[in-house]
Amino acid sequence: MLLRSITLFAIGCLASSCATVIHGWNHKFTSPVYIGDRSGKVFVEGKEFDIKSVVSGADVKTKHNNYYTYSTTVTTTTLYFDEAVLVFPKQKYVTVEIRDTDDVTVLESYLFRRDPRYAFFALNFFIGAGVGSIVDLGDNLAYDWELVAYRKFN
Amino acid sequence: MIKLISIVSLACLLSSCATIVNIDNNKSWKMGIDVVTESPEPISVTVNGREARYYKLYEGEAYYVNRVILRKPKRDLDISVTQNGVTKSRTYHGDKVKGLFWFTGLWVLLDHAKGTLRQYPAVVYEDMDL
Repeated sequence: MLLRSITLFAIGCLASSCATVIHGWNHKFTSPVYIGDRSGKVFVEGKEFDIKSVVSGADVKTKHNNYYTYSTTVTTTTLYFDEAVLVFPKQKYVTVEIRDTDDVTVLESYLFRRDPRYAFFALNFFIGAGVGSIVDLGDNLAYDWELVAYRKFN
Repeated sequence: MIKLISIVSLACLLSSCATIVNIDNNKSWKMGIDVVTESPEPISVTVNGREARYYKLYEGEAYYVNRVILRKPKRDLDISVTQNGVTKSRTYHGDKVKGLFWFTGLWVLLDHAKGTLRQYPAVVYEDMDL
């Protein structure tokens, strides 16, 4: 009886995991972060960000209805982070810097925090996120980051 | 076929258990508020007049994040942060978070029991006196 119960629960976990993978696939395992529309090189966690991944985010801005009120610019640039890189090591914070062409001089720095509501993402990946992910698809809530700190240097 | 599914499923279950243990080790299940500084110097934090414990959560290129453990996650928190002899104080509000039942399942029940379903903004030390 116990074994059967465990097996049934485990099968539920498997189904949930499969749904989550499908969900992740739909999102292409990326996570958008919005920064001001700037000239300069983009560094994430001290490493130069692949400029090909920087996409103009006009549609995203509309969709999120100026969610990031910290932003002082009208236009935004969206960085699509690789979820597989950022989420699974349970990274809760990420630093994005805009540097000058010398790669050293920091012009601006941003600190982003993963939405705390998703602190249990790793757990949910196997247990609860299956159905939740489907709900989430409609809400477009997954993988939100909030801007915590911003500095502009002269 | 059923045996194969059972084996894979059990692997997922074990993985879930491992994740729970991992979260426990990471103290992610404890309610806390994050204090962000631009200097790695140690800080002293008081919450509602009482000294609070914290641990380093993130050390980035320009920012350092410390997670302060909250014993009682009240709506209003009077936070004082001292770094390099300079003390800054401010009151922060934690809104109740709508339980994402589908996402957190049993964890929501646990959170309700612990009274931890609040979401606090990060405390940015340099901005506390703005």
